[in-house]
Amino acid sequence: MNSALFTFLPLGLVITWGILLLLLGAFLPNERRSLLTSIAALGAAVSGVATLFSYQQMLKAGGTLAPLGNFYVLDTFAVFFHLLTLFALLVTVLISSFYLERENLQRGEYFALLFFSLSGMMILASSKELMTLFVGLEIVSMSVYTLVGYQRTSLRSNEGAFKYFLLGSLASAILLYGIALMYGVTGTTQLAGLRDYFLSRAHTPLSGLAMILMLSGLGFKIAAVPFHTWTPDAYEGAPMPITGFMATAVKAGVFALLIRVLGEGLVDLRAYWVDLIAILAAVTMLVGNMMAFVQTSFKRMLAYSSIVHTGYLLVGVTALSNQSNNQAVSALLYYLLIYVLSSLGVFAALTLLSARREAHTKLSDYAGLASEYPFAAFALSLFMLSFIGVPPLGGFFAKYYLFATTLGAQQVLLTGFAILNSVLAIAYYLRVVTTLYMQPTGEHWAQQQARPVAITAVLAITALTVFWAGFGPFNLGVFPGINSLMNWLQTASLVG
Amino acid sequence: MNSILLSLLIFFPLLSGAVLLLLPRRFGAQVRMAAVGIAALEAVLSLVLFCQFQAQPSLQFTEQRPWIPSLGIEYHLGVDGLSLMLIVLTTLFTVIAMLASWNQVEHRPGSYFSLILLFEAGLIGTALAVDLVLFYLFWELMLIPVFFLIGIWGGAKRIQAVTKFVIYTMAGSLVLLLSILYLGVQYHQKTGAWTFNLLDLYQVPMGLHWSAELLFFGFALAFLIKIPIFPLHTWLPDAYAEAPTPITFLLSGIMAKMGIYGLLRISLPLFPEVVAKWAPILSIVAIIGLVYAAVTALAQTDIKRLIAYSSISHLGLIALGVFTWNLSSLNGTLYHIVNHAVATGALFLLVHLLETRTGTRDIRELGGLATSAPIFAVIFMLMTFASIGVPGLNGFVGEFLILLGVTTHQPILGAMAATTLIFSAAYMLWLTQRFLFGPQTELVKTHENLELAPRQVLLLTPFILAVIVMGVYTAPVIDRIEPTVKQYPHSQNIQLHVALPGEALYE
Repeated sequence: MNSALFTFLPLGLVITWGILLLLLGAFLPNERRSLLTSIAALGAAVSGVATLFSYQQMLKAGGTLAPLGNFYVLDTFAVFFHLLTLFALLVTVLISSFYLERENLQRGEYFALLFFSLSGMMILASSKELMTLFVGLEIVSMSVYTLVGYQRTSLRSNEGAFKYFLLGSLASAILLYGIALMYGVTGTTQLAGLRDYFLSRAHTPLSGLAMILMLSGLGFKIAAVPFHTWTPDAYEGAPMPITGFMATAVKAGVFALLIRVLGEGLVDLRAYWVDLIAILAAVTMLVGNMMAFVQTSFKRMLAYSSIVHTGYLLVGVTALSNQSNNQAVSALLYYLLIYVLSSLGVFAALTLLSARREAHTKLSDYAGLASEYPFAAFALSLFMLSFIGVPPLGGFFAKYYLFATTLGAQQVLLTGFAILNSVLAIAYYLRVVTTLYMQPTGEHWAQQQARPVAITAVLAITALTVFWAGFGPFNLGVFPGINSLMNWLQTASLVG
Repeated sequence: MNSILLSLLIFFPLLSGAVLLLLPRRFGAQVRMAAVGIAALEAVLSLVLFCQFQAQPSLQFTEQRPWIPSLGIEYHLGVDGLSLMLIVLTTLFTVIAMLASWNQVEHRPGSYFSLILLFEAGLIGTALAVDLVLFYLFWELMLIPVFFLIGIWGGAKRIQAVTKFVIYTMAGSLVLLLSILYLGVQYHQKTGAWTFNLLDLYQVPMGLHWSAELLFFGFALAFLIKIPIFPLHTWLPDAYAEAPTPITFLLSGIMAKMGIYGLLRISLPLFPEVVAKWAPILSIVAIIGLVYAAVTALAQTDIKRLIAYSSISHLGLIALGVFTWNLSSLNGTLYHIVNHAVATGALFLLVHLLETRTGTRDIRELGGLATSAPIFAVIFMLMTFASIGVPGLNGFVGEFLILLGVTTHQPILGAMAATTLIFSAAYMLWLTQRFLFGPQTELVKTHENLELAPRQVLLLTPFILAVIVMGVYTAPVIDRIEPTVKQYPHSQNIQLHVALPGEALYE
């Protein structure tokens, strides 16, 4: 088989599986709908294996596969995001099976939409051309709009989807307008072309406007303050597994796009965007923290906490530069990896613990959980402590690596501010742990008995990984360890 | 040359604590037994270390392995005169704290005892780490078990107290992390290599640049919160009062000393010029804190809170010894770390025993205890005298050395610091007068059997011996600390003070 086929194999599989699920959903009798879960999980696994195959081919071809020029390439950066989003998809499918059964929502298009949005994410991670990237982003957005409003009878779900759709379309329009202006200035939509253009020519007011419009559009999609207003409602209204999917896979996909655009296309304009991103990061962290602190709903608090993590990631984005020894990309990828894993774990736990019609999503409902669900409480606390950045958990090393990189890029003030925000964040993450362990147990826990194997497995795997990501650094020779992972991530740098 | 002893000291309690923590709840009694056994073995290990320790200035029993090479992070352990006594104290105190809480923990005893083991591992790791990132790792590992220990087994207002405690210390810790990173970046810019090895970092002078001053305060903040130094102390009375008393005993005895240790190990040698510049102000802050805490102690009606404030006051004196930074004051500081741990620790334990008998710590409800519990009263008085610094007991030696160092350096500061002797005598003696002597209250009259049981006296015997022996025979400790201390003021060729007559007198 030639290498071109391998480049598109994972993407093709994901799209095919999406269509297959849609058809099966239409033709399967109602009582056999649970089969869809297994098929969807199988699809995620098969696509993951295919990605690894094409990664092998990519290594043989010298590190990149680009049969279509820059429109769809496969490099380490892309493979990382393919694997990460596929894992998020697999987890979402596994926890959805329990959720859909409980809420009586089993329908074929649910899984089909998940697969379609994943295909968009793969494009986001793989393309180096602005129009293709935009199409990828729209594929993701359209599917997720629908998924957020999936509980058609729930008012909150509809409200969230509607807000998300309106603001998301506006953001897409702004982004598209920015891309158009950028094309008007440079005459190209290729990221490499943009880079060549700005290497030799000066930044003009028009290209500045184009850049700002593009950044604003992307700011909406990653939920950076002040473009974040849709986030809490959409996160709260969406079905729990979809909230998890949005906070992990969708966020990772859009960050792949942002890192590509800023780190590759506009990297020579760094002097112009770096302060914008820094301000955006600072405001995002601060507002996110303050809003997270006052929430009583656990789900809404997590929405704001994901905004805060967007802020930390933006702090890392400021370290992107055109120097060859730049570690910003690998630091960002490592942070995203840990963030995605711990968020998936948190949402798996919440899916398990919330009751029908999304009852029990208030933080106070979780009082004294530790005595009834010791493992879930332990895992949740582990994730919260990892979010705070307590060593030796993964969150600590992620923060450490990220902030070391930004300090190296002379962003001292911003890094200091990020640390200050990490201090603020302790207050609400810690409140979760104290609620779980140090308060009298609520009565409603005695009745809930369902403990599905899939969710427990997901919890165990994510918790172990977050734990190991910290301890892994000890080269015990048993695990691959953080070193090999970091060395691998370092091959993912975009330029130089 | 890698010795495995130090790793064993850290990972034996860490791993066994983690395993015990994961055991199901029904094994509580067995876990308790196993935990005490492990702690006892650990204490034996630390005594092996103490005996094999050579009186020499450099780090011993070092163990150095690469960890994350691309960031220059190493797994590097070592012990010297600064850390030796802390290790021994930690292991012994852990055993005593476990024995003191033997029958007191009814809710999930297994988790309680395994968390103490994890705490012990964090404390020992902090004292042994030579790499800054490793140090930070253990520094944080110290915090998490305490968070759960206070939060689950503490008093009525435990959640409030523990949240305050964790936010304070984590704020300090994250600033510490930032400082460690920034120091690494500065080193990288100067030399082109990444390292967090303290021995390498000592070699690169930071000078008196503003960034060095900022870094110094970044490091110092975490340590000053942990000690704690006025005005960063507000978490302490709540946390100490709400924690189960054996845990308070560990907090005041060991954890507070880690702040002092951090100053000695990291802040002073890395930024000698900055310390020299700021020492007068820091010393005055330490003295203000010392007096403030002593005066506040006078006003307390809860014995545990009173001893908590006395602890702040004593640590102010110890910190003053650090900032004065000459041979006598540093020797005194390290010696007084042990003294304070012993005397205050014993006082906390006695309060604990009293509270388990009478159910109260309120001075107003207690009185005339000496008649119904003479042995208790005698031991309490002995510890009170040690804490005040009566000559012949250990407290005197430490306070004398610190005050000698301070006075030879700055007579006025010495005079101000010496007021601690008066204040501590005032609040401690007044305390004993109120609750040990005087007329018996209703509560004391109605309770029978207030006297200590023989096994409790046995538990307290090490403290009694330490207080007396260390008061008259200082050589075993001083001989081991001094070589390390001696190289300190000279390690950076900083002429902090001219050779003063006091020092000659001491030598």
